[in-house]
Amino acid sequence: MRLITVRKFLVFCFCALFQQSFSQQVELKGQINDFDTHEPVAGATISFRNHNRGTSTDDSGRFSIAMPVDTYELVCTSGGYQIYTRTIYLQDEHFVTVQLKKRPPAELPEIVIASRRTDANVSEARMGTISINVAQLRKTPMVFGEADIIKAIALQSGVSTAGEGSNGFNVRGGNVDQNLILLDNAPLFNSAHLLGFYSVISADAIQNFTLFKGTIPASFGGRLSSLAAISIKPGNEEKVRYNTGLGPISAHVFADGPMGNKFTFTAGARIAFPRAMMSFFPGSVGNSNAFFYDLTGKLTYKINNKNRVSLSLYRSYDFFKFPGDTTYSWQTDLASVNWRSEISKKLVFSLNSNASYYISDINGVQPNYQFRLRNTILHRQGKGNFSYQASDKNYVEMGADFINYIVSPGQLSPAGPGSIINHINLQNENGNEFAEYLLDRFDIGTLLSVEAGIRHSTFQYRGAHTIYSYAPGVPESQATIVDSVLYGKGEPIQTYQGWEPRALLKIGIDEATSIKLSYDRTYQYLQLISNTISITPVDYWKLSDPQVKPAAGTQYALGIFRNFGNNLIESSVEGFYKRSSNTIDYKNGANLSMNPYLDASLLEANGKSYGLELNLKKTKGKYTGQLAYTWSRTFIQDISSFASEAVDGGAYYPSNFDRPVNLNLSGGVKLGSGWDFGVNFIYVSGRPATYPDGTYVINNTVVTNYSLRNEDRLPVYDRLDISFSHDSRRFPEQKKYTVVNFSIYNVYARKNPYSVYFQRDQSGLNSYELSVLGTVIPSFTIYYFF
Amino acid sequence: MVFRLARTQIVLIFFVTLHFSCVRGIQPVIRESAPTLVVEGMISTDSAPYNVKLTFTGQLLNASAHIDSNQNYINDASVLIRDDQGDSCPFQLVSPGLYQSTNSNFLGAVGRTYVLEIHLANGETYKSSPEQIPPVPPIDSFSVVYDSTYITDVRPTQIIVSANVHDPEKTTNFYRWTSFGYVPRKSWGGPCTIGSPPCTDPYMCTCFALCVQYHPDNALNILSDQFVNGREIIQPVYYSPVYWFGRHFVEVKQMSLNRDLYIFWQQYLEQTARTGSILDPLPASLTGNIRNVADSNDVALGYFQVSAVTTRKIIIVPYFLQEYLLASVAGSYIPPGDCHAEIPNSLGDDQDPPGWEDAEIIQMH
Repeated sequence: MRLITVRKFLVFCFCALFQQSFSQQVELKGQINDFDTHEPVAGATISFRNHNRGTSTDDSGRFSIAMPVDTYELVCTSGGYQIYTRTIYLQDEHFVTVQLKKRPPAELPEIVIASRRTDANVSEARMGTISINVAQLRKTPMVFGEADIIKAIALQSGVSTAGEGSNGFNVRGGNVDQNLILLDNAPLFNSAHLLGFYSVISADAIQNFTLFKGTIPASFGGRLSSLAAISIKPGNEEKVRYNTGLGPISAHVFADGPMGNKFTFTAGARIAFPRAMMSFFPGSVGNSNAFFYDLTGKLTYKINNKNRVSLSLYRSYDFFKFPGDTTYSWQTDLASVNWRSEISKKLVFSLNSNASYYISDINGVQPNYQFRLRNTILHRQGKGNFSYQASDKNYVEMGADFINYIVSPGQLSPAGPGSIINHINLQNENGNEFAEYLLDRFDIGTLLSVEAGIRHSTFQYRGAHTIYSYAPGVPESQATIVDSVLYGKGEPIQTYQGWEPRALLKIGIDEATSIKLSYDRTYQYLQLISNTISITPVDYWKLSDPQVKPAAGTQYALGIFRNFGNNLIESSVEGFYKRSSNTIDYKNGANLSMNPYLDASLLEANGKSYGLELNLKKTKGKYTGQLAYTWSRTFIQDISSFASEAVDGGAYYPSNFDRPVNLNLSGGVKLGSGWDFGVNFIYVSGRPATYPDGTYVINNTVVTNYSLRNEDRLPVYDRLDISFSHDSRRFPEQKKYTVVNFSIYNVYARKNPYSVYFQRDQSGLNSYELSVLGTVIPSFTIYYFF
Repeated sequence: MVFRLARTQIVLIFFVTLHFSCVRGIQPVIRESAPTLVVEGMISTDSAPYNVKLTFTGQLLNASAHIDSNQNYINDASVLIRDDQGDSCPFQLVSPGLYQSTNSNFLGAVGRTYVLEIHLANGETYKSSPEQIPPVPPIDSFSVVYDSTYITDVRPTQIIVSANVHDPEKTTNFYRWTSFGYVPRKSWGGPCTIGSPPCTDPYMCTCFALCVQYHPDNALNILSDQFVNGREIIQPVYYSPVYWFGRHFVEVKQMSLNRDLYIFWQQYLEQTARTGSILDPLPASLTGNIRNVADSNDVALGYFQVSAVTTRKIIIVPYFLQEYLLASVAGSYIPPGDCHAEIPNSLGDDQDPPGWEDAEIIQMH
């Protein structure tokens, strides 16, 4: 039955691919570029005044649409740009080039997050996509004076975090490691500085940020929950420009511009100095130290009008030291080369090669046991992609993707002449992933739009590595190893492969209303092992191997989308249902550090999530606002032949990210003379927690017992933030200007619970609630552009 | 090395550093579960008798006053230990919840395997997994270092005693150390004879002004040789507070552990060090190696430990100490009155603690 369904699906895809339009119409094609940078503008909306037809540009900024012979007023819009209009006398095939100008401040939308196009939520088949207007982040409420993309997307429906100061984000109940975060196509394995207080990439270096929280395009894979695509801002071609910013803990400088006729560059640096603030505090805190910096660069070479090469470079470094104790540092180095070539007006080829290297170091300073423990991930990737605009109703993309992984789970070495620590290097994990894909976006008539994609991925775990076999019928452990096989370098050990279909269908009800459905299946061959709720820099990543199967995820979604008042107000209701399998959990008491038998300490887990997301937003006018409401649940189930190994005996239990109600309200008002007022209100159900349910004495110490995981829940989280900002620009081309932002975070000083924990003293068992940012936090930030 | 413990610290410290965080007490959240068997048992190569303590988990709030008040002692169980040669040793109840071996000739031996059996009054039987006593290397020597740091009103300066052990390279070894000592104390002193005036100066009286105080080290001290296999281990095993001049009497027991028990104690350290950080290890039960015979998923809390033990005693004589140091740092620890009467768990100055007659003497100059 399933085979027949898949066949029908494939036939459907290929029929659609080669479908032709037989109507008596002429074709209008065009190219939309940014006026300043000449970069193509993806996702721009093309419409015709007084007509119900329209389309949007592809990733190359191109569009194509068939229209009856007539005279039209073409309207081109895109988020952050001025509206462009032009009269066109369409009698035969026609090609137009449009240079979109950035909007002046007074016209910039106040809403931080906006869909890619004003009517995209109705007209496109794609659903569950969030784009960020990065420039506008500077005018919204901030904490510690830093415009932050991760905090911005956490205000969207279906996206949450484990709490303030936690690393990463959760999409529709998925784990943090199930988000593929790409910076100019290269993956980031750590998305936060200072253990979660800052995003790892400065907002000033970003051109676009798009989060696919639903069906990921078939051209991407490797993660179960979401794709966050970040592109570094390319340099402008006019003159070198600078931008600096100073906040209470961090500062940045950014420059971009031309280098001769063919090159443009972008270079930025950000540095944090929390040590200065720490020094004001007494005792050990004053002697602690923390530090981070990040560097971002991009060099673009325009070979000719049809060929362009860019090199993106990125480094981030974090350091934390507690006096007299262990120091922690982690670093990301990333390089990405992208070549884009227009083979014809319809066919574009792009080739990307990237490498991402993540290092995590722990340095112990205990006398006689001084050590350095290092974990690394080296990810090298090559990807070729063809995009073909077959017709105004048919866009095709196909390509192939190769990834080589080298994961070093532990390199231990003594750190000092008196150290008795041995040199120990655990065996590297090696794997190759190969994927090929095909996707097709096409319209059927005027009401149906489809995006259908198929991806096939193959993963091979390779030597050199020792694989252990364990005795059947007893829990796996080092003690139950019955055999081991040493595989040579490059020798195949285990191969996994699978089909990953993706499909989106839009059914237009009328020009302002549509119903959408989506389905996707994905595999993940690299997972994070953590026994904490929040991702940390010293967690461990693990490749799939003979014992650890690839994680698999399936998601179904259904949504109703409707716009009101000529797209002035957008609304949607989306429901989703997700299943996952083979995600990693660990046994109680598992030693995750420097464990050569780590496989035996891990368990497979199944997951399920479901929910309803309601979005309502007004993006134009003096008053703007957004309501994002999510109701969802997410559960985990450990799989083990031995119920005592599994959490709660193998029953489904609420995952760490199960927060049923998530309400975010944001609004903005233009106050005139460059002044803006912004406000956010957040109300989220408390995170699941495990409270003690018994007590006993062992080793002369009273111990509290926790028999069921996540059966309890922290109190509700709610918060109000406001901001006043001022943009000194009086016209859009003004080069020298300042943006100032004064924010108040947590206006009513709510002591939101970060965790509840229990300690026992002579008076008995005491419960404590820890609030991380439990007070009003004002911040003032100034940006200077010149 | 407990990496994760340190990791929880850094996040909490960072929050505190930012000074926006706060911790506040809240009403305890009450959730009770059915009582679960808790076992704390041991057999070793040390001399008998051996102890097995049996309790049920108690309700959370019953532990409001004292440790003992919460213990639901099991006084009607039948307890015995069997070895791999068919011998067994029954235990008898000697105090609430505490069972002691009854055969002084039933001694633990290296390489032998032992099983703890517990028969509860309700008919349920729990058995430990068979545990083999691993060997323990000797303590080669001790290193002593004076730590001049002190924490006001918490502890004075101290002498750090480290055990020097050559870890066998060909075997995987897990260690646990327990220790206690007697440390010299001073008080103002008492009248030398009946009717003499009481002492009015902490340093002028000499009668009944000195004693030695029993000072156990209750901290759990374990180590795996995973990262130091075959090396000369220098492990701090005892911290002897320096209140006054005099000799420090220290006893150290070095025990072998098997792997599962080492993991149990490691988990114990993690769970008892939770600080509320979101990066804490997730809460978990401390299940050990004892299961219900009829239902293997019914695992008791606690453990059955089998260990080889080597014991060393030393006497430390800190000749280097200067009075002005002690007066300025340890002065707050000198109470008025008779030392033996005022210092709890102390012996008079004319008494050395018993058992140190043949102890090695370490002089610190």
